Amino acid sequence: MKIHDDIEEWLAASVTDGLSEEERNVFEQHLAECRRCRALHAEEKIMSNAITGMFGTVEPDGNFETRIAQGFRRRISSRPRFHFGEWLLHFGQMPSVRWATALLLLAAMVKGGALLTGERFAAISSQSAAAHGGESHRFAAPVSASDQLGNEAFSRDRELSSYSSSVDLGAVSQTSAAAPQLEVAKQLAGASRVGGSGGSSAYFKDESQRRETKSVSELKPADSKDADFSVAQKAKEPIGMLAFDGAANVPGVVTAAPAQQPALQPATPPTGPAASPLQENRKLIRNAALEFEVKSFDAAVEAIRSITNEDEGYVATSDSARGANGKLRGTVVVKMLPANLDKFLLQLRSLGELKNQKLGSEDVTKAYFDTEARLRNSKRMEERLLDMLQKSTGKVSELLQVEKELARVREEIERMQGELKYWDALVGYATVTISLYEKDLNQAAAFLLKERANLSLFSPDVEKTYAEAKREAVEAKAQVLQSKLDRDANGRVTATLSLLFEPELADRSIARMKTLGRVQTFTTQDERVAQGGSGASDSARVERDKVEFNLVIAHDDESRRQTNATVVTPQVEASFDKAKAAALAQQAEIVHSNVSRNPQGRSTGQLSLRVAAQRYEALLEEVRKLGRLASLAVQRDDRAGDDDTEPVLLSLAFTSEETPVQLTNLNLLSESVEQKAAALKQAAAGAGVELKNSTFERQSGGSEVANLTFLLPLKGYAPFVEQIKRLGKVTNFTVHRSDSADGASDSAPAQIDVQIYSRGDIVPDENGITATLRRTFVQAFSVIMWSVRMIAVALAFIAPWALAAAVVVWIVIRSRRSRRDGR
Amino acid sequence: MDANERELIEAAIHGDRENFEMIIPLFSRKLFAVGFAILQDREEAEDVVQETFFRAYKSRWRLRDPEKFPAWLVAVARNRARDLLRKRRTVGLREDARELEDTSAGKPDEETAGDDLHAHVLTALATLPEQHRVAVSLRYLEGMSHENIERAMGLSNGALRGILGRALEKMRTLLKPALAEERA
Repeated sequence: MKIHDDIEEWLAASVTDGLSEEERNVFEQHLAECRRCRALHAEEKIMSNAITGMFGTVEPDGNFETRIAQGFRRRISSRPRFHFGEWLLHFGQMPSVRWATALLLLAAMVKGGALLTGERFAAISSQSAAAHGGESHRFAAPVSASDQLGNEAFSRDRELSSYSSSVDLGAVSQTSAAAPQLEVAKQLAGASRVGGSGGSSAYFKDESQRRETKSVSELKPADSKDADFSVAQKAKEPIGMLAFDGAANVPGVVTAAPAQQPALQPATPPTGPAASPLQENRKLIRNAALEFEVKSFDAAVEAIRSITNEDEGYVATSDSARGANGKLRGTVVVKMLPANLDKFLLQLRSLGELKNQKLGSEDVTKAYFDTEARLRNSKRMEERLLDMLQKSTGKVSELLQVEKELARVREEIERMQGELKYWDALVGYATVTISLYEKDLNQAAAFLLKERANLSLFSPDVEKTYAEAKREAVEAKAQVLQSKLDRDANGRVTATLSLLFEPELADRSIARMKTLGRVQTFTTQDERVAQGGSGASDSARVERDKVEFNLVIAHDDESRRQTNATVVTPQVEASFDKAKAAALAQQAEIVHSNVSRNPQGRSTGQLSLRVAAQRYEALLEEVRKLGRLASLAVQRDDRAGDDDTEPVLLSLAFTSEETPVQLTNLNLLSESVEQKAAALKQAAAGAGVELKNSTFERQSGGSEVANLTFLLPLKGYAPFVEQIKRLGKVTNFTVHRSDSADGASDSAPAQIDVQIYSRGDIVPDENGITATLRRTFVQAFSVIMWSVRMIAVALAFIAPWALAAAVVVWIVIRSRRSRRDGR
Repeated sequence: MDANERELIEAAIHGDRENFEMIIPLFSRKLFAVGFAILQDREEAEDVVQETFFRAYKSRWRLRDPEKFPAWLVAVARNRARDLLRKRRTVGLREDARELEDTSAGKPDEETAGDDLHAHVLTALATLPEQHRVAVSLRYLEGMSHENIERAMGLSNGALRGILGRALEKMRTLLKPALAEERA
């Protein structure tokens, strides 16, 4: 049945040879059984033949492949074009490249992280800085010789290295050796040029030329050997150094020093018994600076000495200084073998509290060996010059020139030897500078007690008192800082005196000063000032400083009694004049008098009078007649023994307007605020009520507010308020009345503040379903935008790492696959 | 794929022009079949083959698995053929068939009756979907085995049977009158 249902597939498979042996058997069996399928099969075969026939006509001819191949060759040049993608893919398949990429990526991450966090990798950066410095130095060094000379020297140099058998340059690749060789060669060339200028060019002709002519001079073997020596050494030194740089770049990696040059190197300075081979090759000047806070300076110095002796170092210098408070501080400089330096520094920790530590090293390897090489050259130069001197049969001028040159070379040699010795000394011993100071170094040595006294005196006769005070000051041997006597326009005299008393005499003198007059105020002030330090100290002594004393003497006619009165009167200026006349009649002294009129025509007046106590009451009666006394305040400064004869200071204020005795706040709710306000104004005008103030405002919600302030005599108050109340619904009604003892007269003013307001639209348009929906959507949108921003931020954080991780994973997978494929 | 073929492909992927040329005889006719199936034009199919090898050579470094090389080549060819088809959209299929008649006119034994039938077959073929056409073409023009066709077209195992079944059924239905006439 299955075949019958899927007969089309079976038919197709049978005519296209797609059936297996077994399947074909089953199929043929079915065909034998099923007529319909048999018929279909016959048709299918016919059609298949037709298709075969058709395709037979379109089959490509025999030359087809050739044509295609020719066309292909025409289009593709035989030289493969460089394809960057292809190259990258092949390149990336190399395991070493993969590892390097991974490492580079890691390093970039670390560096990037360091940049982000601001951390510093001191070891790596200093090393790389040193390497950079070395490189630049190397580039800068050998440019003294001209180009031609350099080329000659280079060719000669190559010859030298090719025939020198004593030195194995095979280990060092030609390219890496070329640079230092060139350098040396140029130096030699430079030296030969110097020699040539000395007048004996025959000796210093280019060496290759000499070899060509085969005129073997006496000097040649030695010379070439020297050159070999120099070249070999030079070639090896920088390479050794480079190797060290590479090793030192990885902290914690201990590498064996390449055993290259001890044989060639001249006597190295003493580097200590335990000096590692690393230190042996490198010229490192090590130094350290430490700062300790110690209990006892002397004990610490003693401890340093013993530790130093133990570690085979020596104390170079030591100094100390004692501060004002008896504390010691000082510096000890210790020279220590570099090998023992670390141990020594650890031992020093026991001295006290380590406040500061600085370790440094300076690498002079390059400069040292450069100088050494130059020294060797100069020495050779010296030998040659000496040689010339001995053998020379030339002219005297030539001899003189050689002598001169010799002197110059010797001077140079001495300078360089000195330099090397200096370095040796520095390298041989590390310098440790230990700063010590005792605890509480900054403690105050002493305190100064500064006192200041201010005295204010009243005296009936200022000038006399002033003279007495001055005399007292002279007696007390006080220092007068300032002394002043002022007389103002009213003829009143004030004296000021600033004095500096000796501490021991101060108290007595001040006490005496106090008796000179009536003391108004007396204040003293103490201040402890630390001397030479800060902070508290129990041991420091306290010293009393000179006492500063300020004295003010004022005239003692100030009134003991003061009366302030406010007079309400319609005619201010007239009343004011009357009061003045009354005052003069009572022989009162006018202290202050002022009348002012504002633009509204209202006047106010202030009058201050000093009047004798006996006449005071009479004057006050006069004033009472001028108008209503709105306020009367009496101030008495009573003291025992005082009588009432002192003059009275009377301050009078004249005003036509008095503060309302009754304040009323009325709030009216009304829908037509503006109309109501207008109506109220009309009513007020009708009742003769004064409108002091009127405002109207309409708020955004549609609510309106009108504020009106009325001023009216108390007697018209009640009917007016009734009138107002009729205008609308009263929501607030407060009355504030200040009752005076004599009872408010009917003419006293009352103030009414009326506020008329409407509610406006109770529901603002920012409510309702649409507004809520809108707000909701706006908020939702802003939240979505915020999260999008956050996602972007998170991506910015994560993406680089994800990318890096993906690259690493990709590299690992690819390398694994390629290894598997390769197997 | 036998070891020899695999080696050739491997060399072609990683090697230079000469290495790549070695695979031209191996695939050119198959690619021709693909091109012809889609375009029904011999010259254009040949262009497709040229173009396919050129492109494949240019971007061969992208392919790392030799196993997938045939399917990849066929895919390149199909894309290329489709491009050409798009370009000549205005030209009708019948015209191509007539061109075909001209080119095959030289064969004497099929001069009269054969040509007519071939045209019918070609028309019927043109009505099939592209995938079916390619399958039929690879089978009839190149005589490739089911397994190879499946691999070249990137089909799963056994999928070809269904494709050929449907393709041949449709062609049979279309060609029925023509075949009857032929027999008569």
